[in-house]
Amino acid sequence: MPDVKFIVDGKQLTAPAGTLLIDACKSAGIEIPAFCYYPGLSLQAACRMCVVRIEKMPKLQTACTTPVAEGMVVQTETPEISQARKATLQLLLGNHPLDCPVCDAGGECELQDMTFKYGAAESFYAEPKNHREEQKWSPAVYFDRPRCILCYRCVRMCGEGMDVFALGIQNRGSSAVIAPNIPAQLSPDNLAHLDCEQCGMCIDACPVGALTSGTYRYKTRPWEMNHVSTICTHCGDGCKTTLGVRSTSDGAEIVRGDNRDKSGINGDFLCNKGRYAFDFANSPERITSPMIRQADGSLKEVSWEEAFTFTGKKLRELRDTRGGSSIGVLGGNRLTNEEAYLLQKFARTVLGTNNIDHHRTADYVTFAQALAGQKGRTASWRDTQNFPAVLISRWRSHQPGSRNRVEPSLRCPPQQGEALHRQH
Amino acid sequence: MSEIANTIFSPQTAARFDHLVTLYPVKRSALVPMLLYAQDDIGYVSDAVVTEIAQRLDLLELDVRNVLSYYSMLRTKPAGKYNVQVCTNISCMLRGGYEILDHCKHKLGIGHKEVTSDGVFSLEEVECIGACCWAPAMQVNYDFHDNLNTVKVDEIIETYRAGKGKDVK
Amino acid sequence: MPTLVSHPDEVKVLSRRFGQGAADIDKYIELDGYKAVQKAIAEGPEWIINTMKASGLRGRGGAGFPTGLKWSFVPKQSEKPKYVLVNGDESEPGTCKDHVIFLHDPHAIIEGTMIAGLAIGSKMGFIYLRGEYRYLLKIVEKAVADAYARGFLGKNIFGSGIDFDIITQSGAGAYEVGEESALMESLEGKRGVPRIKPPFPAVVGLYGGPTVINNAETIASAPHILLMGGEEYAKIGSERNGGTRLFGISGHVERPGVYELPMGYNLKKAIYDVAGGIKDGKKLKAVVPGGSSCPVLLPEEIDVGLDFDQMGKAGTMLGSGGIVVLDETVSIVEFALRTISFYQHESCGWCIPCREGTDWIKKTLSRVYNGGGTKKDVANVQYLAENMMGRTFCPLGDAAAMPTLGFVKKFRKEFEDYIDGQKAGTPIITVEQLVGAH
Repeated sequence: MPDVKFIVDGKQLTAPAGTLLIDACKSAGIEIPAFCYYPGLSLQAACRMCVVRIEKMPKLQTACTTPVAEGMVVQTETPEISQARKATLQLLLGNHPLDCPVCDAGGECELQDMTFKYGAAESFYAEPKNHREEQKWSPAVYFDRPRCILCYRCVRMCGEGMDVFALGIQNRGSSAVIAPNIPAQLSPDNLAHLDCEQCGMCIDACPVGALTSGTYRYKTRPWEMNHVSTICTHCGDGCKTTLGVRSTSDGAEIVRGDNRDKSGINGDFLCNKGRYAFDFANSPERITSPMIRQADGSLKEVSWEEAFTFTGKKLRELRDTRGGSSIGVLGGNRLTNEEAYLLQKFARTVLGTNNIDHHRTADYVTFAQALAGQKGRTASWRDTQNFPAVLISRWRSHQPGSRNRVEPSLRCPPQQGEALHRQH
Repeated sequence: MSEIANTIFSPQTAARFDHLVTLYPVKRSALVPMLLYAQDDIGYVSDAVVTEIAQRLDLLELDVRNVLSYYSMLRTKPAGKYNVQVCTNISCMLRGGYEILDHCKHKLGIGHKEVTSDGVFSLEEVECIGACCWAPAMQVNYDFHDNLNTVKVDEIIETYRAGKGKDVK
Repeated sequence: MPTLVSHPDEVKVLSRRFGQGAADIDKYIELDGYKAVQKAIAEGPEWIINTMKASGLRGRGGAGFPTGLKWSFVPKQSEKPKYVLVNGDESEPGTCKDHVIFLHDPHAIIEGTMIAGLAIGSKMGFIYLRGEYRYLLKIVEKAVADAYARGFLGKNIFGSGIDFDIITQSGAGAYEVGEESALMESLEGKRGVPRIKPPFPAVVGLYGGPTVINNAETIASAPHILLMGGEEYAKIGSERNGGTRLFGISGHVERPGVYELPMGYNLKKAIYDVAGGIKDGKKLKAVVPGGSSCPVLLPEEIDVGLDFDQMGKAGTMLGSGGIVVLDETVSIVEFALRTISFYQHESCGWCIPCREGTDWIKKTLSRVYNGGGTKKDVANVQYLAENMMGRTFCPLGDAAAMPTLGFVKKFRKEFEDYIDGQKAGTPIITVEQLVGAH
């Protein structure tokens, strides 16, 4: 797309034609607030927070649905715009519970941030707020209806993003509500439930504390954690995850995993393992030091030095008495390439063996050999987003990151997708 | 012969649905009228109705529930055999709509969205039904009754009670 | 059954077949039926659109967009099929004009749909009726079946080599579906929530194809316009407002009914002459001139012509042509509450300002009505409505805000007196009723 020139808040900007104004502004460091807009998901224009003034347009326009155009002149912060945003926030706060001190989202809540910015602190209403009891949709997902501002991010994330379609919008008007796929009357306990893979993506997408995580809720405050960026260890996809780590009297505890900052190759995606399966870290059953089996069959904890000395001695004995070929080396599937290289070098030069293999989750060796000598024989995750077609052979569902990259776009092309249709 | 084995609908409704899904460029277009016709047949949109319609239109049951809960004529609980819907919107209000509603409440002994114990009548206060110039007006099931007064309402209700009321679906 | 009314000032174009049994196809043909579509086939799309443009016909749903211009926006070439949609979701309180057309002249709707189809090069039309209009749907369904039986619809219509099909569709109770893109969503089997515009339906509409969507009255006007000629039709009306319109006059008048009057006809005359004046000799208090979404007019403001431009100048709208007349007994506080209750009930809930704004206005006015109001509440209601205006996803928010603003601005003193315990008019709704449904 050719670039177009336009003016925002007096600054001359340039962006490819077709870029949404909200994105073009963000790239130029101008933040336009929004609840319903979520990059990569279909457009809603529902929250009306991103309204801006565009010259020659009679009404305020939503920056999330307006593509930039040549010569466009835009204002993003004027008294009129601030008032519109403030009024919208006032309406939301009319029913929103003020339980921020105990809400999981308190401190990292978009509604809080915007209220702070636009100063919608005054209350007009004498009527009591609509209260509804919190619902446990699944062990992983809890729903607090009064906190919900109906931005529909969760619904789209579940459908368009994850291809699961376990969340919907029901009723209408002020009764409109996010609903899970198992209604109360069809459930043995007469409560609504979520029948899905429990990926937790809806929780990450929620801008407020309406959807909370069963493993994290009421455990801590966001500012009491250190947020540690790391790579998930559960499969070979290598997704980035952010672990919320809290100090405890005897060390540290991981209390949350998410990827809200959308960095890493996985973008905003994180599967249920990456999100929840960190409890092994503090498990009492976790092996945290090497052990050597004793003559009576029991295992005894030893120091690393002792363990290496013992292993080295045994390997040397084997090599010297029975020859290197009596030894085989298996690499684990979480080794990095560098570690795997060092392992085989150690095997060949020190142990004197060529019996080297790895823990096979896919027969990559055969696959790589078959493709050897061909040009452009491998593709990255990013490539799957741009190629017109992807041929999938022997789909491995235990690599959720890869699946997520490819699958929604495969099964749910925009013209068929329910929610995507809103883009028309 | 229905396209669906063990359909819960009457043979006429099932045949109508078999035909309905073939009419549109996209099958799902049949959903809204189908829900209403299913309600006419079964009395309300039951869970079984949701299941069969989802099956007929290749939709998730969640999709059907999302749509069903949007439209105010669709109900998920049984109504009376004759559902009396009194309009109280502005034009009717000005000409006695609320009086008619109150009269119906007393006569039938039920309130808004309630059903008489014998299941014959239910009552609903509804928004504008498009009979403003003949106000006050009400519908009994789909039939319009207009230029109402309390005497006329009594006659209408008695006619239905005797099973002689108009009831075109 | 709706009673037909008549008045010497009426100009019967659209209503000329009413009461003559024209729902019967033979009678319709006898009364010049299906001549216009044959003329349209003979003359071609360009002629149709030019004639519609010349007629000055403006959308009868309420927005008043010139119909010929709308039809001309549809691209000639399109990869996707094009569609014609007839909006018969008539739900604006005070409006019952399409009701009468479906009842008395369903073939005019069919013929108009065919004409629109010919104009834009579409092969398929849909006639969407609100779910409550089941008996009218049956009338339309029979008319469509009769037209098919005669070969007027289907393959090769009137030997033209052109195919045209019509599908009738029922809604299931939703005012919001009257919004054109929400109607398309409903017709695609979805929740009746409007779509983001642009793109407009003429480019991306039903099933993603270019679509013309018109109100039933607009569509029914087309055959008459083609037969009498665009210029002739335009002459009947006022400047930039061609032809006649069905005005439904309801509320406190002696002879309520649907009257066909020339565009630009004086509102005061419509109330006092055509509809016989205020019922039981009472005094006029206010007029809601074009369906419940139009700002209220005071008695001294009704000497105005009933067309889109003159009503706009008067600070209100022509809207759907449903004129609701209020006599001196009406409590405006109550009327405003009943009006906002409707919009609160019908808001689709998609966007925050409409979903929450209608709800808070209703809650606040309910409290005022029940005697628990303060003067600050009146200011709050105005603040809420002002902050909804022009900021919602679709026009429903404006439709709720505009009448509210009209009431609180023009009857401010009545609201404040009410809060002080001096109630003007005779409130009807009981507290129990308020809690009940709304």
